[in-house]
Amino acid sequence: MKAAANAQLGNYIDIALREILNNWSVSDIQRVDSANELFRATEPIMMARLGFTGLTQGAYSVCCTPQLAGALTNEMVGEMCEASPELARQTLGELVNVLTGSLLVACYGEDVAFQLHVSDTVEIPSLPRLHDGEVQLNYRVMGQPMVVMFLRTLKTVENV
Amino acid sequence: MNTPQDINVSINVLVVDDIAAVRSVMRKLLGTIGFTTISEAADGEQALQCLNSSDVGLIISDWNMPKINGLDLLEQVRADEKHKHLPFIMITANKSREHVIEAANRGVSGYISKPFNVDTLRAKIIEAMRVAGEASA
Repeated sequence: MKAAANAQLGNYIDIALREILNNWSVSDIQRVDSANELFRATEPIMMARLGFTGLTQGAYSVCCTPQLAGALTNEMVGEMCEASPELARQTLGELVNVLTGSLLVACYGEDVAFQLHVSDTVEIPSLPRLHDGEVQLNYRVMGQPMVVMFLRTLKTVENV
Repeated sequence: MNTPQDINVSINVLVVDDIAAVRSVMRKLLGTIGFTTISEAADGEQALQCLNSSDVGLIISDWNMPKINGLDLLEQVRADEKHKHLPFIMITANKSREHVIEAANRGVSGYISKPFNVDTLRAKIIEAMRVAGEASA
């Protein structure tokens, strides 16, 4: 039962992520079995996270390399501005913001109201460990690793 | 298919969003539609200053922002007799119906859920201009 629900959520995440990235002119998106080993141990991982409360609570997070965050920013804004680290952080925050909004509607419909918290982006040494009922999807986007996670509690995020 | 001729692209569009990258994207999309005069504000407070110092013909604002959020900005804009009917489009990632109703109750002229593309933006601008025009008639 839980596995089916997680698989359904995985489908929703996949559809929503591709739609958002396609809108940003990014089409090189490959789903992969595992992205953990794609992150180099010497390099920090950039993680944007956004908690929500309402009928249920939790958080979505998107993890990627700083290089990918910068590349996404360049794709998103074109040649109009240089992808500074701060702009790259903002871009990843925007990605998790839009993703969360899309997923809550996909999962619960438009009639269920949720409060979306303000996203924040942090650098972490390694990917957070998943707990029971949480979901992780792994991608290669523009040749770089990206991980999307659904974390069941906000506490999980605070403990990262 | 709407063309730039369907929209008065000579007006000054004020884009309000705390994320610089999003403002840049919006500038690009508005440029594609044909707008050439685009002002930017990083929050509601800056937006109000911009409104008082320049002639703005359309506001496109994010909902979630620090200091004054999009909804509070909308309320303050509508409270000003001069900007009572100014076209105001709200953009948000939160797609719940409650949000749409709340914005409508405060006098929003259009509502866009993220993600969106240039065609959606163009259609919403046309609609918002029409709604605002009818309200001021």
